[in-house]
Order: sequence, then structure tokens, then C-alpha cells
Amino acid sequence: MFDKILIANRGEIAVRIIRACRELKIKTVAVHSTADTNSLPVRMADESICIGPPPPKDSYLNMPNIISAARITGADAIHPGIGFLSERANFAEACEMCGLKFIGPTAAVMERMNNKASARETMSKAGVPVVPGSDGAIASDEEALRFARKTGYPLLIKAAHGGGGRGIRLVQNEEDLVRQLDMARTEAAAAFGSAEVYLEKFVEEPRHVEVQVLGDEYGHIVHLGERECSVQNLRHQKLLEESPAIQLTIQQRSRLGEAAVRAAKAIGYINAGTIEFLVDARGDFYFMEMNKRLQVEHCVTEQVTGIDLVKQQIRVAAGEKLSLSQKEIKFTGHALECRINAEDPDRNFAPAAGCITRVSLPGGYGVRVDTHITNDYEVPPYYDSLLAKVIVWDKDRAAAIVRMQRCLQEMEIEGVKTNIQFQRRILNNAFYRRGEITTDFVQRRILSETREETL
Amino acid sequence: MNLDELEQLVALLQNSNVRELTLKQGDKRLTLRRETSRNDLQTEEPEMLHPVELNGFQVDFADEQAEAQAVVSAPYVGVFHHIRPMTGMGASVAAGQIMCAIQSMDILNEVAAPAAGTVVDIHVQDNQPVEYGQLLYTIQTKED
Repeated sequence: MFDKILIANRGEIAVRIIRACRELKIKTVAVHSTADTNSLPVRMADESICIGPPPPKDSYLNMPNIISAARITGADAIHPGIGFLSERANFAEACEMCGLKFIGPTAAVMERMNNKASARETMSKAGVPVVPGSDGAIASDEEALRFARKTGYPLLIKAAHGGGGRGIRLVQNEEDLVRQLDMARTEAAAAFGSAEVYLEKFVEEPRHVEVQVLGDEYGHIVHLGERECSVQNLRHQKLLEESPAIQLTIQQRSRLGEAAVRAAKAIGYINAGTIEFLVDARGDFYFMEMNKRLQVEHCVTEQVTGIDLVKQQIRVAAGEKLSLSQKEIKFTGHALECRINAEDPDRNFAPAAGCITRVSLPGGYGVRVDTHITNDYEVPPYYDSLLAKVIVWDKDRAAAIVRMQRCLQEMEIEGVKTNIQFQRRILNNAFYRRGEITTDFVQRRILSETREETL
Repeated sequence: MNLDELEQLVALLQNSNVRELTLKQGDKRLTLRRETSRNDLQTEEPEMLHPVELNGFQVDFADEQAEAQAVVSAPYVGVFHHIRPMTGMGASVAAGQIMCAIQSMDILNEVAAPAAGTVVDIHVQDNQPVEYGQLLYTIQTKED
């Protein structure tokens, strides 16, 4: 097992990882930018190293400084957390070259899955259903038109190297297609450094369901069930997640799990990962993409399975065999997670920075709060707006919703705008409560309601 | 800023033993200086004044001591190394002159002096690990 782990991240996820390390009796090194010098993870860790000024490219993405920090502190592994360097194949490679264990999949696997077009191809070969799409990147307008005539509209144009919901365009007809293709290429080249785009059939009324997988270095892979992540804001950022997914039969759920394991096996996946699927109204599912890291919403999986995912990640990275068999993994009850963000729902969810003058967190039976905020915490304007994750669980979905409502009633954050009230509106929404949610739920059922109110 | 506010500021300056004060708001800057003789300054202990807020303007009191000094801090994370010849106490450096190196991932990154002057303090030792922003040297800068 490792002696000392460096956490190359910040905020609540850094706190989460430090907690797992501490329970495993592993020493921790927090790295931080000058904006986070007084942050909770820095105070909690055994050691801390400042790695640069506030902009992420100079600090949390500064590979030489991070690797150097691991070396001068004598850390033997790096946990990249979520975002930042967590899916950079060249960072994983640099770690290995410097004799540091990267807690995540290998660089080779990351590279293969980072290109969406080649990831689709790999999945399709492994027998995992994919949304009908062009075979790889689109070379010409003629090829795009040929594909469109065969598949039918609506279609999506996607950047091969895009992610996080960015670089996606919806087209309804031929005329649209040629025009948007051009724009999508220019945009992709500017945003992702590659003009490669591909086409995909647009799945109507889709839900976003993802499956958590976990693999060791010996080819053993299990899944830890699914998460329903259809409640997203207009930038396709998840707001409220739950496990298990809703409105799926037991057969559909086990087919999803099996497909995810097949997908992970096909690429020789090691460590924790997530396979994202689109599920249509009939419960048919299609591979969307793979996240080769821990996810923000991993907590709902932990609550229904009783498995600490971060500890599992560390154990697997240390070369231990997975001690879990698929049969031993049991799912109990229903868990929900609300992301509490520093943002202004009235101003198109614009991120809000500032000083939190007072915070009061919910608690009690069946409640978990993962956060790095404290009284007088300055929310820096340089990073994402996630302040806290409120996670609840109970015997079923209805009971979990009631508990979450109680929690958000208790929760108070003063000094910065938050989406707490917005989350309460979601929980109160009749469609949400009935489980009638698709990826456009927020726009269709919540924001449209606001417009009507103001008219 | 209006005339009243300016008057307030001038009064503030006159009733203090501060020689100069600078106001910053956004990219606007206003400096007020009081005529004093050199001797006055040397006989008086410089009094530390903290920046104050005045009608929403941030007021920084220029500290003679601090203005004459420049600090060199670590621009990289790594191991601090002296170079040869070593930049020791009392060494005089030119602006842009290489003072030391920080070893980061087996690469020696040179650190240059931000201003010309004399080294009056060295805050680290050879082979010491340093983090970003860590204080390395204090330089007494040359008066023009």
C-alpha cells in the first residue's frame, strides 16, 4: 500500500480523497494555488505545497509543478480527482515516468477512449449498442449527406475531441446540415484543437443513465449499478443525480450493467470508470462516452452499495486484487444527490464568487454532506462553482425525496447566490416526482414554468 | 472623485508623517506627495500604516523601507540550488541576472533578479525544497 498520496485537485473532492486516505492510514499532500492557500483540504492534509497562481493552467494543470511537488514531499502516488488532469493521458504517462503511481486507468486506455469516434468503434465491436452514427470522423460534406439520408433527421454533429456537453449541434434537415457542419468544424478546431467532427442520430426523449465500473490489474471487472443523471442545466451540467436509475425493469438494469462490464473489459480498463448511456423511451440504451475517472456523483453509488469507491481506487492502484465479486454487490434503497453551486439561477446560472459569510449544513439520519466550504470561505472566481453535495438515502425514492427536501430547508448559505431554491423547485415538481425526466427536464418543466410565472 | 474628497485626502496627508500616498481604483491612480527634507525622514522612525478604505477608494501608504526592497520568490516548485558563483549575502546583482536555479522534474530552471541591487537576505538553503511563491531573496534596490 502507498505511504503518501498527493492529491492534484481542490475543493470538496480533495477533501473526499483526504478522508479516504486518512482511514487507510496513508499520509496526504495537498497541492494548491495561491487562491486556495487557506482552504479546507490544505488545512486537513498532512502537508501542502503551493503550485502556482490562481489560473488553473498555472496551478492545477501545471504538470511540472505538481510532479515536482510529489517528488519533494516523497509521495508515491497521485490522485487526480475530477476534472483538471484526471483524464490527461500525458499526465498519467508523466507520472509513471517519474516513478509515481497515477490513481486511474493507464495512459494507453485513456488515449483510446479520449477520441470519441474511436471509442464508439471500439464499443460497437465489443457488442455494446451505440447510437447510429458515422463511422469515425466525417471527411466531407458528401459523406455527411449520405449518412443523413440513410439515418434520417434529427442528427447531432459532435466534436470528436469535445466533452462536457460542449461542441454539440442539433440539425433538422439537409440545408441545416451543410451550414452547421462548417461551423462545427471551425468551433471544434478552436475549442478542442481538432476540427474532427462526427454525426450521430439524435435520440429523442433521452435519459442520461450511467454505470459505475471498477476493475483491477488482473482483468477482474465489476459494475456497481447505475445512476440517473437526466436532471441537467442548459449547459448539460448535472444538477441532481440518483441511484438506482428510475423507470427501468430489473432486466433492463442488468442488461445495462452487463454491457458496461463488457465495454470496460474490451479496453482492458483498470480502476474506477463510468460508462454513460442514453436511454430512450422504450428503455433501449446506447453507449455515449466513458469517463475515465471518479465522478462527482459517485456518492450515490456508495450509499446504495456500501462500497467506498475512493478507497477501492487506491487499493486497485496499489496492485491489490478486487475483493468484490459481482454477486456480492447488493443494492439497498435509493440515494439522491443535489449539487449545491455558487450560481445565480435568475441570471442564466452565472457562477457567483464572493465570501460565504455564514453556512449552516443539513444533517441527521440518512444524510451525507461532502463540502469544503466553511464560514468566511472566499469562493474564488477561477474554478467550478460546486460548493457542496448533499446526499441522502432512504428505503425508496419517495422517502429519499422527502429527506432531501428537509435537508435543503435546513441548509443556509449566506453571502453568495446559490441554487438551493432552484433544487427545491425541482424536488417539488410533479413530473420529477413521478420520474418523468428526460435530459431536457430543466428546460421543459422548470424554466418554462418560470417564464409563465413572469408573463 | 470630487473636490471634497480630495480635500479630505490632503488633510489626511498633512496631519500624518507620511510623505506620499497613492490611491488606486480600477486602473486609475492618484499620488499625493508632501515636501519634506531628507533629514526629517531619517530622524523619524517610519510609522507602519495599514491601507485604509476612504469613500470606497483603497488608500495605500507608501512605505519608504518596503519601496527600496524587492523580493525574489520561487516561480516553480522544486529543489533550490545555488549557482556558481553563488549569489551570497551582500552580492550585487543586475536586473535580469541569474541568481539561482530550481530543479523541477530533473530540469534546472534559472531564476533571475527582478531588479538591480544588493542581496540583503537569503531565505533558503542549498538543496531545500521550495513551493511556488516561497521567498528566496530580499534585494535592497538601488536608488535612481
